[in-house]
Parts: sequence; C-alpha cells; structure tokens
Amino acid sequence: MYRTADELDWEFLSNPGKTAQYRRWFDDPDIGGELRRFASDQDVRVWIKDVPMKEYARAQEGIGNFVPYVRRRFRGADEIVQFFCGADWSVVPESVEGKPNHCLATDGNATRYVCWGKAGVLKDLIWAALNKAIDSPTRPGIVITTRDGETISQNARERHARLANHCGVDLDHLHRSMIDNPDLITDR
Amino acid sequence: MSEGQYINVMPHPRILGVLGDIEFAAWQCLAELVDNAFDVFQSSPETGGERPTVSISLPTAQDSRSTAEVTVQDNGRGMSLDEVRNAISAGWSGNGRHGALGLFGMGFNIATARLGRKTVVRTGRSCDSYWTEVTLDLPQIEASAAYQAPYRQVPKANPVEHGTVITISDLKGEQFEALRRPNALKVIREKLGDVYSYLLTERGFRLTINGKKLPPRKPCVWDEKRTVTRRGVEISAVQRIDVPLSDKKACMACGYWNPLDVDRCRECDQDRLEVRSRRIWGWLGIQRYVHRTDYGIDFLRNGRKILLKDKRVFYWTDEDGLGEPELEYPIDSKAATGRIVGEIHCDHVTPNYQKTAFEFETAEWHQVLRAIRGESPLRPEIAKRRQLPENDSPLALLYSGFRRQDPGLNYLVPGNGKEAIHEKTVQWAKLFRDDHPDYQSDDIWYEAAYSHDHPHQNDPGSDSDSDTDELLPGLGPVTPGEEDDDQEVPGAEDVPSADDPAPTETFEQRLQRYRDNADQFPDLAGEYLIPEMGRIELRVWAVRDQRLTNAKDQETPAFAIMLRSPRLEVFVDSDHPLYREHGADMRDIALLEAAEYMRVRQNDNSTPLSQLLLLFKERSSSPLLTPTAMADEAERLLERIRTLMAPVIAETPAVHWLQLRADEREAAEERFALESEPGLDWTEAVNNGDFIRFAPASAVLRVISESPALFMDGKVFRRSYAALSASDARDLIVERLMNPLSDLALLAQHRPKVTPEELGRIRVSCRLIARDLADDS
Repeated sequence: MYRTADELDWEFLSNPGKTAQYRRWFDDPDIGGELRRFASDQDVRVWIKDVPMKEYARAQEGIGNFVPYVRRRFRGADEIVQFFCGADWSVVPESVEGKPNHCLATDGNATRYVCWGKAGVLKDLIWAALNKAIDSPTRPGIVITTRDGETISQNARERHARLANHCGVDLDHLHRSMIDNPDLITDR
Repeated sequence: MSEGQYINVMPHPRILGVLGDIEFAAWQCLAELVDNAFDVFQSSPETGGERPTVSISLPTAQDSRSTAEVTVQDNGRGMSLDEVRNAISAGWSGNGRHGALGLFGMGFNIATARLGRKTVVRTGRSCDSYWTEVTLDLPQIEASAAYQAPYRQVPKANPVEHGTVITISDLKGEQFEALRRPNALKVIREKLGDVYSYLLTERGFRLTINGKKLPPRKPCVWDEKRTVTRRGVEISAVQRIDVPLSDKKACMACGYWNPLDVDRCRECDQDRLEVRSRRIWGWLGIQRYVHRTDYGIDFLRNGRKILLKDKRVFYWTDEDGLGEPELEYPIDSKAATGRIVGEIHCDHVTPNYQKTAFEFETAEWHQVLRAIRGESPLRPEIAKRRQLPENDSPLALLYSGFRRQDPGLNYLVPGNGKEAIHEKTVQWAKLFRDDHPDYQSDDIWYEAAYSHDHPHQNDPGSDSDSDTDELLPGLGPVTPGEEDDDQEVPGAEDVPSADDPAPTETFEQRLQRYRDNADQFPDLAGEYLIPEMGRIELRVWAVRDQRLTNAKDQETPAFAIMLRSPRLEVFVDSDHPLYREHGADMRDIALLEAAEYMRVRQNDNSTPLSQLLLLFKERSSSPLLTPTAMADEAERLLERIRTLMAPVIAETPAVHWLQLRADEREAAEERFALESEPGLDWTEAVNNGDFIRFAPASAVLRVISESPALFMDGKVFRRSYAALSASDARDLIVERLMNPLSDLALLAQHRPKVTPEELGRIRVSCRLIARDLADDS
C-alpha cells in the first residue's frame, strides 16, 4: 500500500482520487480480500483509512510503528529542533509524540516544547502550544513545514507569525526534503 | 561618419516593464517559468533522490491585491550568483536555440513582468550555505535609470537544501482579476496538464498547483492491437512514426540548421555550431470517442507541446500552393466530428517565441507534415483524378481505415445495435481521465462496438435494449458465457452511483430516449416565422420502436414540446397505426402538431388550423408536389446515386461501360463536355469509371440492374443482398429497388405530364430511395 501511495503522490491527491484508491485497495484481493476474512466490509474500509494510511503520514515524519515500511521519509525531529532552536539543541529522548507531532528540545540546561505540522493544522499546533505555554517557563515553538510540491505565500507566513506572536509562542517555517528511509525493512 | 564614434544602443530600463505588455495568458507565463525549471531537471536530473518537482502557488479567494502573489518553486540544483545574473537578464540565453525548453532567454522577464511589478528570486545549490535572494522591483529599476537589482545572502536552515523559488508580487490589476476568475485555476491546471503531459508521464516530473498534483492529460485512444481491414490490409488503430533525419549542425546563436561540412553558420556567420541528430517520431492514433473539437495532432518540442489538437494535417494543399487548402477530414460525418489524434515530437523545428506555433514556412516543418500525411490527397479518388500517386502515409492509412464513424467493428465505433453511441463514449472518456479503473483499457468501448454487430439473442430477462443501456453504461449486452466467468464483478459502487439503483425515467430522459431512437426529417427542420404567431425553430423526430407518451403521460401518435424557446420539437411515432394502417402522412401530422402548438401558445384559435398548416408547409423545405420540384428532387437523388456508384464502377470500368447503350454513351459524353472540370479527359473518365457521373438515368438503372450485388450491402444502397441465398429473394430485392428508381428516372429524364396521384407516388419513391442511400446525408 505504501509503495502505491508513493507512486500516486498521496499527499497531493485530490479527495476523490484518495477515495478511488481506498476503493481499489478494498477491492484488491491481496489487501481488502485478505482483511475481509477477519472483519466486516465496513470495518475493513475504516481500517484501511484510519490505520495504515493515517500512519503513513506519521511514518514519513519518522514517528510510529509503521516507520520501517516507508521508502523515503523526512529526517525526523532532530531536523526540526536544530532548525528552530539552534545547532546546540537536541531532542529529549523518548519525547517525540504525535497528535500533533511534538517533542521536547534541550540544550543541556533548558527544555522547550516544539510542535510541527503543515499549515493546515496550525489551529491544532497553536492550541497545543498554548496549553504548554501556561505550564512551562520556556516559550513553546511551532514549526510550519512544507515539502516539495507545497509553497506558502509570504502573506500567509506573516499571518502565521502574527497569530503566534499574539499568543506568546514562537513560530517559523521550514521547507524539508525527504531522504531514503534508514529504517526501511524489506521482506524480499 | 568618422570612425571611433558610437551610439549607445543599450535599451532604456523601462524595457523590462514593457516586456510585460506582450500578450501572454496566465498559463503561458507560468509555463515559461516551469520551462526553465524543467530545463534544469533535464540537464541535471539528480535532485538527491527527490522527485523533480515544480510547485506553483496562486492567489486564493482570501487574498487581496496587495497581499496576492504567485510563487513558482523547484527543487532543481539551484543557481550560483553568476547563473542568477544570467537567468534574470533579459535576452541572455544559456540554453541556446536548441535542446532546451527555454528559447530566447526572455521567458523569465516576459512572464514575471506580465504578472506583477516585483519579483524575488531565491536560489541556492546544495554546496552553498546560504540562499541568494535577488529582488527585481520594476518601478524602482525604471526610476534608477540603471539595470540594478539588489541581492542579499540568507543563511540556509539545512546546508544541503537546493532549488529556486520565484515569488511575484504587486500583481498587475488585470492579472490579479484574471487569476481570481472562478474558472482560472481549472483552465490553468488543464492547460499545463496537457502541455506537459509527456514530461509528467515519461520523465517522472511532478507539477503541483496550490498543493494539488497536476495529472497529465492522457490520450484516450484505441489500443495498438485493435485493427480494421480495408482492401485486404489490416490497419492498426495506432501508427508509429519514426523518421530519422540527417545530422546537421545547429547554430546555437540563430537556430539555423547547417550542413555538416560548414564551420560557420550560413545564416548568421557565427561559429557556435553543434552537430545534432534529428528525428521526427511519435504516433498517430484513433481516439475512442468522436468530438467536434477535441481531436487533432499534438506537436512537441523537447517534450513540451507547442501545438495542441492541431488540425492542419487534415488539409491538403496542392504542391504549387495555388488552390485554397482543402479539408479532407472529417468530411464523412454530418456533425463534422473527428477522432484522429497523435503526438509528434519534432525537437528540431523552431517554434515562435510564444511557443504557440512553429515556423511553418520552413523546410523542417514541411518535412514533418510529409512524414505524417504524405503529399497526395488522403482521398484516393481525388488523388487519382489529379493523377497523383496513391497516399500511403501513416495518416492516409488511418484515414482509409477510420474515416467514417459508423457503429460497429468495421470502423471501430461503439454502438447499441441501432446506432453509434457517441455521447456515451464521451462520458466514458471522462471516466478514463478520472482514472476510473474500468475505463483505462479500451475493452468497454470494444465490447460496445462488438455487441453492435452481434446483438445478443434470447435474453429473457430484458425485453428492451435501451433500458439495459441506461442502467449499465458501457457494459452492454453480456456475451453468452462471459457472465459466469466473471466472479469478481466490480463492486456495485464501481458503477457510478447515479445509475444505481434503477432510476425512474424523467420526462427529459424519456425525450432523450426518443431522440436516440429516431431519424430527423431534415426537410422540416429549421426556422418558421408565422405572421402574428411568432418564430420557432422546428425539429421533427420520427421515433422508431418506442411508444410515445407526451408530457401528460398520454399515449399519442405525435406531440410537440418546447423545452427551450424558440426550439419546438415534434416527436412522431413512426410505427403508429395512424400512419402504418390508416395512411396518414407523418410530416403532415408533425406540422399540424406544430401549428396547434402555436395556436395554443398564442391563445388564438381564430386562425383555422388548416390555414396555419398551409403556412407551415409553405415554409418547410420539403419539395412541392409539382412536376418541376419533384423532377429536381429526383435528379438530386440520382446525382447522389452516381457519386456513390463511381468508386464501385472504378473497380471494373470496362465491364460497366459495355453495359451502356450507344446512345447512352453519347449522351454521357455530351454531358461530360458540358459539365466536367476543365483539364479532364473523356478517355480517362471512361477508363477510370468516372463516366458514370455523367451517364443518363436509364444507364444508371441498367448498370444497377445488371449487377445488383455490387451496389447493395451499404455500398450505394443500404439494403442487404449478399446475405440472401435464394435467387428469388434476391430478385425481389432488386425489383423493390428498381420500381421506385424507375419513377425517379422517368421524371428526371422525360419530365412527362403527370397527375397529382402519380406525383404522390413519385414522392414516395423519392423518400424510399433517400432512406436507402448509403451516404449518410
């Protein structure tokens, strides 16, 4: 499924395009066919959408149990932290989590909460950062990420920054490229 | 003038802004910038494992003019400071004139100046630790009276990042408005998806607009394995073209192609010559649907389409170029729809600077045309008449195989057993382009063409073909035996959900069903202006095999309906007992219905209905029942018969020449002398069968009656003959044809005095013959 998703440029597919592909997976005897032996049609549909394909985006971030199955992915939380906080900072081990993607960053003295995602989830990022801001002595940070094929206009960037500033959090934009997944496992 | 004095010809800084006045549509501007990025991908394909990607972002509905911007970003190798300088300096071209999409090095300046007043270019290579950011502020440059654009260096977050981002802001009002139009995004997406379809498909380039990938526009053509047979030759629906041309030296300065043995360009005397191999290659094919405009040949240069759906290959121009170009395709369908398409790569032909056309008056372009369509007319009869060699080009081959659009396998056109289903195949093509898996191969189209020729038998579950058609578009009648094999019937949701479950037919759908099963009366069609009653545009449909019910669900032999003013449609049930058993004339009833409709619409029944009928009759183009009008009609029909006979006669002209009586030969020669085009030779006409076009009606009849088999079965007359084995039956068929034909011949040749009853019979004969003629008029 991930190989097909790569070929289709999943993240750039229109919603009808995604729906059509969900249906193809459902109809595929090797995918939907296998799954239907264990669950109802409706459950199979939901599973395809909510488990592997929701994990696909997270796996590309290097987060979750499905990381070993994507061929290419982003560099991971280190890239975010070092871009946002500086080269001396690193990710606090075991602190990377999703919903939204976030981690703790440290320079050995202080720790900061950093969360990141696409511009479309800015609302969630701000809410998460605000919740940290009232509990934490350091300013939390938000990184809006783009990938090849995505651009954000200057006007939108400025608005993001003003929104963050208004809320007392820091925000920056990062365009990332993918690398071959170092954790890829192949079954053949 | 003494030496050592110069005039500075450096253009005024305003020139940069003026470039923006050049007419470029928004999509063309974007394409110029995409071209530059794609050129980089083609020259250095390595992007560090990333898919070569260009992302465009356009203003959204929320943007105001002050905040709106256009961004074109690529992940190419990026530029050094020197390279940026060259890229943004007007008129500099690192590409030369060959091998790249870019042309004159002006594309960047024209495109950016056309869209807005301020452009920022940010670029960097993977070896740089910073981005170079140049700002081109046109009003500022103009005011400063010098070509100077400030730049700065911005540290990179990640040193290995590379690529170029062009951001255009301070958009021009017109461009901003154009980009905000509701359809603008759709048009740009479709245009760019079409123009770059080859590079997106074959080179794996990725192009996005506002975060959505552009799907390449794929040609919806019949598979190469599909064939038709003409004169014993099997013709594949796809013809490959690969014409290697001699190597030449391309002048990188002016574009001129020089022979190999020169060292300096013969055109501009520069020495920037490079040996290039040249080739014309690609394919021509048959689209699975016919369309009024959506057909023709795409011509590509370096993978980008320059001409889209071009139709000039379908014109024939005589070699002297004296006559007007003659359209040769499509000429066989009433609606002028076509389906020959293709993709021809001709990288060596110079396009115009807008990349919307080639330099057509060049040897290179004519060579391309010759490789595709040859030099003779595509129409073999016309070629023969002009004493030109038979055309055996790839296009001529497709033309002879697929020029007509008759349903069935003979021309590879989907049908429903009664007629072609062109509209449906256009819908299928949409499903093809929407990536619907069932519509990717041509199987559904082929099934429909096949089942048209092989109507299914004994299908007890269904007593109406048209119903199955409506329910399962494309699936058609199931071939016996196939149903059981098909265990993995595509899920019900694969069939567009609108068709599932069986919908109740709306009135409009019912009318469409009537139209789908009807012949029009062309002589009644057209505009009628009745004094004090107003104007209508009439269409009359003679519906076959369907019982008619009007808008009030009453069964009726005919009814009139106006869905959209001023078009009035009259539907006539041609099988109704009123006509079949009681002998009422369908045309009269149709016009009566129209007349009554007018009276009701005007709420005026003071005009007698029969009086109104007369007004209608006077305005229709049906021939009057007068000897002169009927004689003209008969002569017109005989002309059509002669035209259809000519190619058949041409097979064995001598045989048929001998069937003519001496006086008929003389008459034919006399008429030839009076009517033929100058320069044609009578002996030639006798030898090639053209004489029949001048033969008197009696001779035409004799030739038909002496060898009827040659002219039946769709050659001149539709009626089937070869399938009948009993000789009595064949005789009967011939007799039924000859009787009305004799009526025509009598009137056309002798113009006798006839009574109205006789005229009535002749009119029926004319209609019988007209219905039977195999020329689709």
